[in-house]
Amino acid sequence: MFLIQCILIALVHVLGILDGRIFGQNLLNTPIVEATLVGIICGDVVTGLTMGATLQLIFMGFVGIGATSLPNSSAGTILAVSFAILSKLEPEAAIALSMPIALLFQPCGIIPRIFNNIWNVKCDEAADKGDFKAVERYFWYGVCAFAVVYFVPMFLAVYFGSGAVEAIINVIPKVVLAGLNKASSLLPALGIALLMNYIVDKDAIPFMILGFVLAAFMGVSSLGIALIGLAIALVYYNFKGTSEEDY
Amino acid sequence: MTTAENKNELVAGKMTKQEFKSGFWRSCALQGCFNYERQQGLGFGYAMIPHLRRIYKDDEEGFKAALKRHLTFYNITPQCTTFVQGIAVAMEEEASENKEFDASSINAVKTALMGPLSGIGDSIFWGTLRTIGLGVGLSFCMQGNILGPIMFLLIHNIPHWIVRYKGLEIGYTQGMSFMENATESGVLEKFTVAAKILGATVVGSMIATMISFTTTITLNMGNYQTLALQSVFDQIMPKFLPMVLAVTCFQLIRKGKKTTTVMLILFLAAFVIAFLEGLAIFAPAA
Repeated sequence: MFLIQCILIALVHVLGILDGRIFGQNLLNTPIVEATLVGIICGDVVTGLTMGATLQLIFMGFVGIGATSLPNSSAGTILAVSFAILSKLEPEAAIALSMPIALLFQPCGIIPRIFNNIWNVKCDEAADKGDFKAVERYFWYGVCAFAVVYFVPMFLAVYFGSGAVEAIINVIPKVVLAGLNKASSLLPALGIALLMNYIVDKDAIPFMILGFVLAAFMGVSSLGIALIGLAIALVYYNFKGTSEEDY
Repeated sequence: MTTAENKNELVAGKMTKQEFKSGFWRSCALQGCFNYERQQGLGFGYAMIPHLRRIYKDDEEGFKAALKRHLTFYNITPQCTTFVQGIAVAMEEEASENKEFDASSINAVKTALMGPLSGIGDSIFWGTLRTIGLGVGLSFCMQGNILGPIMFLLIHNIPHWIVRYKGLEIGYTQGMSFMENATESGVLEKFTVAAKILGATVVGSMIATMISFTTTITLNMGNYQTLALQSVFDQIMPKFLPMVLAVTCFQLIRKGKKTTTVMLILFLAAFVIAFLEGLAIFAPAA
């Protein structure tokens, strides 16, 4: 049973990477999705969901746009939830561990992207001969490289890590755990700040304030706020353009 | 616009439903063989194979050259790739029929489209739809409701698949003129700003709902009077600490501080606060 769980958990990691490779980027590698899947596999969906929410905020800014290499938020998410459920680690402590785990697993993203350079020349040679079947074959070898590099370390980490983590937690001093817990409540600010950096410029600040006030002072739900934002965006879209000045 | 229409007439008709379907599904695998040198180049070539096989059915040399052409460097917001694919197919048809046509312009057009389309695509899919999806999804997740990830995926992926599906068709039938019109009439710019407004509103609300930063530090005022710091902050405004924290992080990042630096600062702050909260003199009255 445990073995099957380990395999399935490792497959979540593979699914996360293959989503952006061959399934068209549906954002399945987002922490809330992966944490939920791991929660289902480990038999505790609610823990998966709630931990996923916090992990999501921590990793918010770490999205793989372009070729930049980032800490592996998927690995951090998957292992944090696995350890919390399988090793009964405090969720807050598991969440604080997710960041170092993400850094540790960063090479998973880099190795296949370097290795796959070899297919460039091979594909060029095949194209010169008009051998499109060979191009397709090399292409799928590249996909396999991603799958293998994401499966193996994750499987080993879950299989051998769960017990080790349990033993380590018992010797961690209380103040360290308290610090880790506190960190898990502060770190989401970084994720949101990175998101702000991405969308909010001078023109958009008023709308950010509006969103904050609606949520903090009036307690409007997030769907309600999204709809208010949509209404304003539509007003802008429909009325802008009659003259250049009316910004 | 007459020349563009003529072009459309010329290229129309070579693609059957079968190549369209095959090219569409293959477009999903854009990053399958991602590497640092060509990035999505091999994936783009892979997606072009069914189209090229049809176009150059009776032209072996033309096929070889075209296949090689599309294995070169390429990078775009993956959700938007089919639009470029459609344009590339239309241009390849032109190249195969018109010997005067300079085939190198195909890659020039692809390259020219990467930047602007990625700019729009990133801001719509990464910036706006992902943000809204998370804003809605996270609040469900926090309550342990399975609708969280489901809502998130729907909010991003319904537009994603519409754009992916329509992009191929629009790119193929009217790609060049579509881009020109959209840029000239300012529709794209308007759309991007509208998307930004929506994203900013949701981000603002996230500061209030997603950061659960409070403190139990309590000052002893003597005479058995105590003052919980949190109650002071609450009197200033709701969610005061999360707001200060988010704005501080935002400022640090704006000033060019590295993400890891800010992260370390936060960890350090967390341990200091946790340490202070643990001290007997700051403990809340029992």
